[in-house]
Amino acid sequence: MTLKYFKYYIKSMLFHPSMLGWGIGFTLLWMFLGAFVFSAEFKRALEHIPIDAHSTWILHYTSGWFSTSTLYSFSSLTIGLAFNLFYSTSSVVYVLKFTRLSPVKYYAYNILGSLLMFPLLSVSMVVSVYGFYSYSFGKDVYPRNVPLLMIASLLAGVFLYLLSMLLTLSCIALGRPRLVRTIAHAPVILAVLFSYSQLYGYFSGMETILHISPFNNIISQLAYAYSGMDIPLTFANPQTGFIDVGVSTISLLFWTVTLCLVDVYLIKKMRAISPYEFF
Amino acid sequence: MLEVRNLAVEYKKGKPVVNAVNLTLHKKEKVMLLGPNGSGKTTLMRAILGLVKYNGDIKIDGKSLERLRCELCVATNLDEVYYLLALNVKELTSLYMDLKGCDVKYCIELMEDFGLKDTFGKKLWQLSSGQKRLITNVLALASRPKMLLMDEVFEGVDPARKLTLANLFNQFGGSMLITTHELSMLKYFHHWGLYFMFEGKLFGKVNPSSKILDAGIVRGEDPNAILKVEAAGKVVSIVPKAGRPLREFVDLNMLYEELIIQ
Repeated sequence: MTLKYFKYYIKSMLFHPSMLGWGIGFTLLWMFLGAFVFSAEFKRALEHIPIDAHSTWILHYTSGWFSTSTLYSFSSLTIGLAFNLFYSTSSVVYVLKFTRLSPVKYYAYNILGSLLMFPLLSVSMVVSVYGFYSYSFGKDVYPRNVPLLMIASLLAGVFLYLLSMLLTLSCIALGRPRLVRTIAHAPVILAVLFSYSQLYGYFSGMETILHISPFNNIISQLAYAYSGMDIPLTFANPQTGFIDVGVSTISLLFWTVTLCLVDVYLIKKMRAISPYEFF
Repeated sequence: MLEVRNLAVEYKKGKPVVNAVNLTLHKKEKVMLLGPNGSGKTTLMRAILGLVKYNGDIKIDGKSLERLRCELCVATNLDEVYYLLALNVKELTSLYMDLKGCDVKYCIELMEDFGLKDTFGKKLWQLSSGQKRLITNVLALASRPKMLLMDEVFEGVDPARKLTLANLFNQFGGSMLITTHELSMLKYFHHWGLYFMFEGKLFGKVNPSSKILDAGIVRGEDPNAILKVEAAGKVVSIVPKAGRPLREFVDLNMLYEELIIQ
């Protein structure tokens, strides 16, 4: 059954330095700053808003920080995943040829591992956000839909895992393996660009981008699950309209299935990277 | 059965590391491949395992290497294939034995026999080159394949354990290709076939290898030669009971250095 691969994959991911450092440590710091440092201006703005609207505004603020921090955390984690694959190509080629592990099983176990790992990471974030933001604002900002939050985290994790694999496998397929060292950071850069556009920007055609960009799909779904409220096109200006969460979910599912198919094809074609090609 | 035809491997265009290699390894046949460092032995091994891009044709049991999937018949000691996950030696053993469908107990016992118990809690990259080599040797042997491809099997290993390894290799029931630059180990494998490799080219086979135990090196072509090899632009003949005895060279690096210098 080759289930030991699955068991050790989970174990090595949970105790991976990038999981502990980027996935948890860095994100906790970021969330702490959002709750206690960057919230100063927001707290001043609250003074000019009717008191009965405070809870809604605070929940929007909290869900915005939760969704963008989670996206940064997950996409930072994929840097480690990309490098893992890059440095283990010889092993992967060997085990797929000369052991009972088939390419489909290999991918299935890795995706299943992500299905467990990313929601687990998400739980740690929900607990921290709830603690930090409730304390900072003196209001109970608990997540409104925890099951949906877990599903949204799971979808986000799988998409980002498949994206990081695609980038690594494409560099190998194009005969430019060393490019991985640069391109592995692309998910984080894209996450920052797309999340900032949703936080502050508004331009013509933005509504379409927000509905088809997988990074914005992730932010919208996480924020929606956390707050239980409609998500504005621009977090900074709720009068711009709202995201259609159904369309956003279909879009993310489409991206995920497409990446999955391309990745399975590329892994079958993957060649081993010689240690001489690492540097 | 392994069939290699017109194999060529280049890491840089126009500079072949392995050139026009033809090799057949029959069922239960055992051969030793001797060559100095940098002669292309490891690259040949990597090509046979599909770890490097190559030109030519490689078949295992009649199936093209490129199409092979989930074949349990081959195992190797190349350490680069044992970095699938960041695991310690014991976990790594458990994982690879499971993937090969083999008994983990036997593998652990074999490692303990080699005095490797202290390494169980460590990662492969934290070990000395000798310990690493022994562990990958055992992982390959314990997976009970039909064919073993073993690279530089004695590198960094102490003399007592070299002898134990040689005994294990001789007892192994399948076909086997081992590479080494240690000419002095040849005496333990006297009934095996023998190839030489210089500058990416394969010379041989001498069968059995015991034929060259008393042979010597003669410069140029000699009509009584068992084998003629070309290295450093010179032709050298290996002739029975003539020339400078091969046993004077501890390893192939010494022989190659002498050919280059003179």
